[in-house]
Parts: sequence; structure tokens; C-alpha cells
Amino acid sequence: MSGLPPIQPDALLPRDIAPARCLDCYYVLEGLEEPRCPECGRSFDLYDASTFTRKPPYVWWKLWLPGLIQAMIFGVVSMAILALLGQWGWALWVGVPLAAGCLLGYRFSAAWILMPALAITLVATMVLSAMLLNLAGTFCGLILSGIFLGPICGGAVAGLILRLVLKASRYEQSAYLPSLILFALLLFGAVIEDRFGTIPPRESVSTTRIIHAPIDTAWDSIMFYEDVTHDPPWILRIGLAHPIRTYGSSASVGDEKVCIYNKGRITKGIAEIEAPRLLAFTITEQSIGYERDVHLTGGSFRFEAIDEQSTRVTLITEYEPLLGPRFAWRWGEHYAVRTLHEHVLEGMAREAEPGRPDSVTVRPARWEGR
Amino acid sequence: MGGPLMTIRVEPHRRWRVNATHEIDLPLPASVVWGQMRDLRRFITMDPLHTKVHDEVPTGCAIPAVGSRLVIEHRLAGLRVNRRSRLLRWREGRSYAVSDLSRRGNHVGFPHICEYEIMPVTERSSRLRLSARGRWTATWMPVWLVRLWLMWVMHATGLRMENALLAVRDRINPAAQGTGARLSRPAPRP
Repeated sequence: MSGLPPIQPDALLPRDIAPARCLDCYYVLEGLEEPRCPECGRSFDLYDASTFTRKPPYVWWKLWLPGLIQAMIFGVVSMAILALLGQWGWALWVGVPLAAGCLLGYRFSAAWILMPALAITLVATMVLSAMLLNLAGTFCGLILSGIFLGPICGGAVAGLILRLVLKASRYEQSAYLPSLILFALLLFGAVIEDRFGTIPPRESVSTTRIIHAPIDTAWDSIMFYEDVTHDPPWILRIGLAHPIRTYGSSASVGDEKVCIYNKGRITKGIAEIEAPRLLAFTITEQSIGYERDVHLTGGSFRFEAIDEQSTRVTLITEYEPLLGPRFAWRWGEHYAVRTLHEHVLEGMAREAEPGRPDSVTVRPARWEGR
Repeated sequence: MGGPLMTIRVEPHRRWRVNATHEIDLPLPASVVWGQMRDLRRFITMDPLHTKVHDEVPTGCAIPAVGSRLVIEHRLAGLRVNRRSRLLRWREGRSYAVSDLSRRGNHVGFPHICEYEIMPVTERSSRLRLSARGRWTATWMPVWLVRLWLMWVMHATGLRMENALLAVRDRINPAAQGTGARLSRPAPRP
């Protein structure tokens, strides 16, 4: 090396190599007269790679992760508080995800293409938290996934816009005040809902099926959900409580039939019998784990002869809904009830219709209880 | 407090002249921001359409000299286009400007100049000003769409720059902050 002119370090740089930066403050050190950083004074030697770095500072996860974590914590804590306060309406199921989405959008500054993935992550976190907090079961959790998605996405967009607006105003408290305001708005909304909310009207769900059997045969095939022997569809398996056994009779008005489930029991009292056209019952006791969701009131079986070999059977279930907003929950409740109706009607059809390969040839002792 | 941070002017009646500016307030001293802006090749790629910047003829210099010919690789929706560029101005500690021209000629493909300027506001804060001035050549587009397009580009560029610069604040050695002691002056640019 002696006798050779010193090699200018710049000349060694291929055109794609990043410039040298100060180890302390990342100041670009190329083209300086003195071998010291003009910002912090740290010395460097371009011949010694240990005195500088070529990596620019970048903490990519800070662009989205703090916002996601904040939104998750906000969403879960708000859900828990509102549920403890007994608010199971708009504030809990729409307000909380809307506010959490707003926080997510407000703290988000990465590429926009990442936002849908974060919104879905937030939905999943809040749904799982609701299930772990015993605010929702499996079926309700599935419904919540759909309910939460819209408000979270809308809130995220609102949060992004809010961030742009506050940036333009150079607002000093922008780091924390929106979170406090959102939470205060949630509580205020819960109070308003509690004070001025109306009791939703009773719901009635009916399902009709034509059973290819005479009306008397169809009448004899009456069975409740707990009496059906074939496997229920998956949505009932994962979403509803499982019947274990029943006892009591349902042959006469005034009879009571107790149905034991894996999560509790339901007692049905026979209110009206007009054989072979109508059997109506009321729910006299419900402790099955859905007491915060619905209050079952009763139901009925109605039979109408179409001709000598066909009968129109209609199942009706009535309940008082406890969850709001109604437009968000009604469709899921009706879907679950209709699925249950179809399961029961299928059981009745298997028993009543002759010649079906899956028909039940030996009637279980239903009318006299089990 | 307040005031517009982004202005987009498209003037179809003046040969489609375009003047777009975007200002970003940063909680960093101007000298710190300039320390990052000196990496011109990286800074220019903060524009979402610019993927890479390199010398047309390799010079071996990490910081190009004024007048250097550059190539800016553009990419949009999978389409890749290389455009000609030249470092037009370099004011050490303050600003620089580059041209952005189509290879097909100086009067097609939105010829424009991009300027990046940092201005101190207080000892610990500064304002970064991005501007793009040129002539819009896709005159078949409605003016509102041109404005929207430029607004998106300026906003996305500003966001990336802000994120990159705030990362400096998060990673900087606290002992080095606020010293402000300029113990040596950068070499004057040719």
C-alpha cells in the first residue's frame, strides 16, 4: 500500500450503495470536508466501516402497530365497561367498533393497502374478546363479525380524515385528546340510549313446510327440538345449546315439559290444544345462557290439510329481543330460529311421511314424556 | 395556526401549467432534516411513483454534483418507465431541485421540476416544502382528475417523508440531540 495515493472512498462506491450515515444521528456524511458529523460532532472515517452505518433509520412497525394495539385495547375495555353498565344496544355493538376503528385510522400512517388487514385483525380481536368475556357465544360471535366490520371500516376512514384535518390545524393535543373524546362520546351515547331507548317489539318467526301425510299423521308426528333424533345442521351444533334430555308431558293443556340442555333448562307449558290443528305453548322458565340476548315467550304448531295426503305445517316461535340495534341482530336471530324450525320439521317429516329411506319406523314415547 | 398545507394549481388556459406544493411541519431541527435530505437518491424515491434513482453514467459519488444526469425509475400499476433527470440546484443546508423529463422529449409526458426545501421554524422544528412545477401534457383528462391525481401523489410523498424523518427522531441518540454544534461545515457543492 505504501507509495500508492490514498483511495478516495467515494470512488469505491457502486452507484447503488447507500451513503454513509452517522451512527448517532444518521446524518449523511458523504461529501463533508472534515471527518466529523456537523450535527452531533461524532467523528467518522470512511475507510473504517465501524465508524458509520449505511442503513437509514426506519421503524416500519411504528406506522401501524401502536394504532392497532391502542384500538384493540380501547375496543375491549370499552366493551367490558358498557356490558357491565348493562348497555347492550347501539353503544356497545355499533359505537364501540366505530370508535375503535376511528382510533385505528387516526394512528395509521402506513400504506393504505395495509388497512383492510388491520381492520379484519381488529374485528377478530374484538369478537374473540367478546366471547372470552362471555358477552357472546359462538353463533353470536359469528354474527358480531359481520356487525363489527362495517363500523370499524367506517370508523377507520373517519379516523384517517380526522388525522388529516388535525394535521392541517397543527393542533397540539392531537396525540391523545381524540381517544378521550371518543370514549366520552361512547359513555354519553350509552347514557342517552339507556334514558331514551325504547323497548323493541316482540318478534315472531314462522316456518312452513308441506308434509306428505294426512293431517292426523302429521299431528301425531309433533316433536320439539329436544325430541328430534337426527343430527342437527352445524350452525345449531356450534351455535345453540345442546339438549340432553327431557321429562314431563305435553299431551294436555297445563302440562309442563322440562328440557335439560348442556347450559341450563327451558320449561314449556302447553297453553292450547286443538287437535289436529293447533298446539300452542308458552315458555315458563328460561335459563339457558341466552338471557341477555332473547327472552323466549312461546310458540305453536299449526296444521292445515291441503288434501288427503298433504298437510301444511307451520312452526311459530315468539320472543322478546334484548339486543340492539335491531337491524344488526334481527337477521341472525331469524336465521337461527328458522334453521331450528327446519330441523324440527325435517324430524316430523321423517316420522310422518311413508316410504322415506330415513323415516323413523318406531315412534319414540313422546307424549308420555321420557 | 392553520392555513392550507397543500396547494394544487392546474391552469389549462395557460398551456396547462401545473404548480403543486405541499408543506409538512416536522418536530425536528432543520439541520437534522437536511442530514436526511442529503441522501438525495433515497429522498426522491419517497414519491410513490419513483422506485429508484441512479446516475445515468456511474460517477462513484454518493451525492451527485449539480448538473449530473440521473435516471428516475417510475412504476405505476406494474408498468415501469425510466425518465431523464438532472440535478438542477443544490443549496447546502437548504434545498435542491431535480428535473423529471420523459425520454421521448422535453415537451411530452408531464415535464416538471421537483424541488425539496427545508426551512427552520424554531430551534426544534422545521417545515419541509415539496413542490412540483411543470406542464401537464395529458390534456384529455378533466382538470378535477388531474388535481386529484396530483393531490394523491403529493400527499403520499409527504406521508412517506414524514414517516422516514420521524423515524430519525425515534432512533436518534438522545445525547446527540439538541447539541446543534456544527463543528465542521459540509463541503460547498459545485
